[in-house]
Amino acid sequence: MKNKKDFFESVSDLTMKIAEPIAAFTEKPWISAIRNGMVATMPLLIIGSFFLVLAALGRPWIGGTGLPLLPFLAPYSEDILNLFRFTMGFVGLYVVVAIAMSYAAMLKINEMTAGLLALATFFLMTLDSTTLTGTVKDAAGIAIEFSIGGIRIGSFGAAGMFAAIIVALSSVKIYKFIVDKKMTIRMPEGVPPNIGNAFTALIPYTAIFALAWVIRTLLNFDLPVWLTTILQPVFHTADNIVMFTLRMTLGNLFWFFGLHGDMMLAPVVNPFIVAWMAENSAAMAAGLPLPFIWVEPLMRMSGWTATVWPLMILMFMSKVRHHRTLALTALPAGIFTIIEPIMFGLPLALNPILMVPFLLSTVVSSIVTYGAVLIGFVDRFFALLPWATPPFILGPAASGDIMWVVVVALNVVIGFVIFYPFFKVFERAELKRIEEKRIEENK
Amino acid sequence: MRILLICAVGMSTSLLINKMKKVAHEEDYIEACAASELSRVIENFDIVLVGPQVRYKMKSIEEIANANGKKAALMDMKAYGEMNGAVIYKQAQELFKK
Repeated sequence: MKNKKDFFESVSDLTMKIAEPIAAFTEKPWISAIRNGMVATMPLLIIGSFFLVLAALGRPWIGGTGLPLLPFLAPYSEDILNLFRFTMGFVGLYVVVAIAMSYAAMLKINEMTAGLLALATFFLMTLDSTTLTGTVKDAAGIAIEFSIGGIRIGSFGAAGMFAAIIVALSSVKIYKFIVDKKMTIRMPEGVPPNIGNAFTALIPYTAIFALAWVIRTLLNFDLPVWLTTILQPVFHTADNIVMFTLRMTLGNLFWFFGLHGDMMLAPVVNPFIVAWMAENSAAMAAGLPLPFIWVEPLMRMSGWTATVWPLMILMFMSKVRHHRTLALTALPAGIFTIIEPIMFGLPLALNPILMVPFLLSTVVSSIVTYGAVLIGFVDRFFALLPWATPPFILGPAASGDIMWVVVVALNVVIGFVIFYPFFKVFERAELKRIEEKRIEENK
Repeated sequence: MRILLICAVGMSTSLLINKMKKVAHEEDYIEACAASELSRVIENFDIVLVGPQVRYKMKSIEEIANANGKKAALMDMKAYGEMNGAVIYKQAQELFKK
């Protein structure tokens, strides 16, 4: 028994050695700011998704019948879409404010000042006019030139998200630099701090706005468009079955060592999958085919459904009493994919017997899940729902395809088959340990 | 004693709170939050207990806690998983007495 604990400890120490550099990276202020900023915009994305689903029910988009699923919604569908367009559809605008404020909090500068700064800078970096001009043909085919008030909103959504991240971080950083160099107007003492702050901001604001104006208006460099051009190939190659499986497996490898894998990988993965989600939902709202497979709901379909869920079933069947007790305690949370009770209670984390099936199930279920979309067995996702939504509800609700229930069930079966022999070994070992302990105590 | 529990998003630790409250004294105050919220709320608490899944953040959590003159410790992994409020509460008491 003692040896076993030593093994756990040495494995745990080794993990911390691997995890520490990654942790140090994810704890850098700008990385944390990206993560916190993205998390802060989630409610907007979820609410936008909800109304997109509602609008979709009034359109012949889902269900494959060619008719709206809820025909009485059809007349309102177009208007309902506004609740999507101005929330999720403007994700870039919200991200820029949220990341700037989060970054400001970490650099200990006024959050409101930073949020306003970043938003204004973002406008200056994406827009060069408040007039739209062009030509339209009238009914007789005669071209008419028009010039009306308006702005191009193309960069406010997913397409502008990476630009939003860059603008938020760099504008706040430059602001901090200028303030640190004391290149500000300072008010005499006795002036209320809020008024003082407004004056402090004048010089850095001017410098940053001027810089953004030179880049966009004078040099005519459109950052979001440029980024989209260079990122487009990356986007479409990064969304593939290998990368998806790799992400899921790496995440669960961290979880095996008892670390929150999803949280650790979020700063790198989230900007992509949030942008992809926003692209998919925009395509849905426009009635176009969905461009991306790997979005957040896809990750909820595999992973826990093939690991923690089958484990809970095996625990209910276990001869070890505390397995059954723990399964019962963990069930309500487990259905909502809150997996910590199983992870640390069984434990699954640092459990050498269960390591192989844990990782193997993750790999197989990731391939099966992504593959199911590739072969067209299930539809792609266009809506983002709260992550804790039970997968068998999340799947159909976020894609409009009831067959996701089959994929989830398949993953549970796969996990069950893979875990079964290993769990039996673990169960026997536990029974033996309990028996030995009983004999020891009776001595 | 005012106890702050830290986990990734404050979801799983909030389950633990109810279990802890069953064994805690009436005047005790227990709250859960995400690691990113720590610096904002720490002044309202006496001690900080950290969930095992975010122990990779322990260094920065300790720094924030120490800077505010508070103590932080990692929760016992097994007790955390079993949502054993009594064990975690005892851990809190011991840390508080130190």
